[in-house]
Amino acid sequence: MTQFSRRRVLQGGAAIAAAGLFMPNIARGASPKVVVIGGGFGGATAARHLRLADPGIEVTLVERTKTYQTCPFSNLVLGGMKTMDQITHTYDRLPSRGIKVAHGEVVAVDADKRTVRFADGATLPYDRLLLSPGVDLRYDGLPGYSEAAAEKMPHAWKAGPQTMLLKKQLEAMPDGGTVIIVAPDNPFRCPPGPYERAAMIAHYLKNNKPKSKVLILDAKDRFSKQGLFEQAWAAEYPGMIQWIGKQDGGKAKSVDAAAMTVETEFGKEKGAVINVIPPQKAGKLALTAGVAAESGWCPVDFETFESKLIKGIHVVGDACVAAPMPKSATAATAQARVAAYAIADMLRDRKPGAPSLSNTCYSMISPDYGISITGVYNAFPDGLKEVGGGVTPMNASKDDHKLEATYAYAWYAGVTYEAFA
Amino acid sequence: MRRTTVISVAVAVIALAGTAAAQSPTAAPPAPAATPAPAPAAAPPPPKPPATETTPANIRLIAGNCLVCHSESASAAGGMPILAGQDAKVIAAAFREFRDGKRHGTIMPRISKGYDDGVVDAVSAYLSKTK
Ligand SMILES: Cc1cc2nc3c(=O)[nH]c(=O)nc-3n(C[C@H](O)[C@H](O)[C@H](O)COP(=O)(O)OP(=O)(O)OC[C@H]3O[C@@H](n4cnc5c(N)ncnc54)[C@H](O)[C@@H]3O)c2cc1C
Ligand code: HEC
Repeated sequence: MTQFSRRRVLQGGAAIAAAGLFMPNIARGASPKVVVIGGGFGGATAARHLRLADPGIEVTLVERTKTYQTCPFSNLVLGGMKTMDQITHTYDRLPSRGIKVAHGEVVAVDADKRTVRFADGATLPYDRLLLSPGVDLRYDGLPGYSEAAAEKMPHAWKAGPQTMLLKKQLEAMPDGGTVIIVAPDNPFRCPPGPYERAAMIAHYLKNNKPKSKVLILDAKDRFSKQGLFEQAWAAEYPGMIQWIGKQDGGKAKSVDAAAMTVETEFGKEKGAVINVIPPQKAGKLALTAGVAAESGWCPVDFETFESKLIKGIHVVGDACVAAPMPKSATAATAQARVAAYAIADMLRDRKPGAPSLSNTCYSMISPDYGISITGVYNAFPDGLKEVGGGVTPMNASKDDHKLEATYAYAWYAGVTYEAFA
Repeated sequence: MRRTTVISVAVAVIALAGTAAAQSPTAAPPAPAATPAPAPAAAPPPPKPPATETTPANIRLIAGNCLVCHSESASAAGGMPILAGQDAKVIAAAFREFRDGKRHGTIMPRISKGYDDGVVDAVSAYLSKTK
């Protein structure tokens, strides 16, 4: 690491700027440094596009884990349609794209000195910093739930061991049991995710334990693609999936991991398997770096995805506030591209323009049945607005649902290629 | 616990509630269906999109959004058409047909609503030259 020489360049720059001379953001001739933290969809895609935008930029991608299991398609692992191996990606190919990959946990950001600090004390300087730390679960958001309780009532809202735990529990449960999914209020990662999960669990049960049922206890009154999901559940898994919204007492008041029960205003529901998806907030690093607002999420400027709270730090993906875009992998990659090209411009003192973004989320109901939601979003002075898009039509044909299931695989290949290949 | 039959009512309301509100955590919830929900065919057309900037940077960004589905890797895995190398005029014409309701598709009719003519031509030209 050329930490010290880099510092000197920055100090030199500051001195000249202080003397009142014109000084671009970066000393001429020096190669600007961008540090990207979080090797998920947002971070890995941003790193790639930073190098495409300007091969003169030195890009370091920092990620705590050596492999990345995608949340997208992790519900298909539960349904038996994919294996964990098939949704596991590495960072091995990124160096060939000119990206430096550093594995470690970043614990602090010094926005004045423009350095990040690792758990082992090492530091890394940056000219601009991009964070895509994803979400953290709010264990304090549901009485009775905790990190320990998650070992009995998995959330499986970060793909990996938690997904496998839930899968093993499904395999171990008796036929005729009820699988309870506790769904959170908005905003949360992947709005259609709990309902795709219900379908994938039903898919497994239908083939293996056909007397079993899925019960969704929801903290909200409506959910993404609701009409389509309910139509699809009825078509593929008649009588197997029941949804109870908040207005009908579906909101969980507490959970008891020892008794395996969920308490609602109407009493306690016992489950053979209980999947608790707790409320969420931006990944912890966003909070320690000071870019998260009181809501727990990070407000950003939509032309650059630069934090509204601290200059020089950009935030993309689930951690940022980008409504009406959902917190999805596709949205994270669209935001990552906007941020990458904006950073390249800002480092060279060019002004980025108003971007156009888009999102698509496919949901898999069965191997032959897919549905989707898509949106096109433009950045206006008063925020992001949806200018096109929509959900699969309610009267879509069987053939089209089958095609959408196939296209979901194409989307997955495309979005993971962009990030990891 | 009550196991209600609210679901069938919800189906009609939510299917028509529009995507932005259904997806957005912060947008105002859709207006309650005081008037009976219209039939799907009668749903109002989406608002006309305001002009999108056609700067080279923005066209590259938009093309990036298309390539999530139209790249070679995506096509190999699930049969989406590859646009790279196709004639720009052919791409643009197909795109307009989706947008104008003259061509059937699972998703392009919805996506295409978000782009006006200037963008369509510029993005098509860009995509036709990608490898
Ligand atoms: C069940 C489920 C299904 C889903 N299905 C879909 C789908 O079909 N389509 C879709 O578009 N989206 C889907 N999503 C949503 C998608 O997973 C997220 O929106 C996406 O992962 C967000 O990307 P991100 O970069 O913001 O965060 P992440 O992908 O979570 O990446 C964050 C990364 O940062 C790392 N990190 C965090 N803090 C630090 C630190 N301090 N130091 C070092 N590294 C750090 C983490 O290890 C992690 O790898 C689904 C989600 C779930 C839960
Ligand atoms: C979410 C995936 C997805 C995205 C994003 C997407 N497309 Fe498509 N595209 C498809 C699918 C699927 C088809 C096949 C028709 C259908 O089912 O809608 C298609 C078909 C097309 C066709 C017809 C091609 C042919 O040879 O038949 C064109 C042209 C096209 N898309 C252009 C675009 C452009 C331009 C963009 C970006 C603005 C874009 N698409 C974004 C999925 C996508």
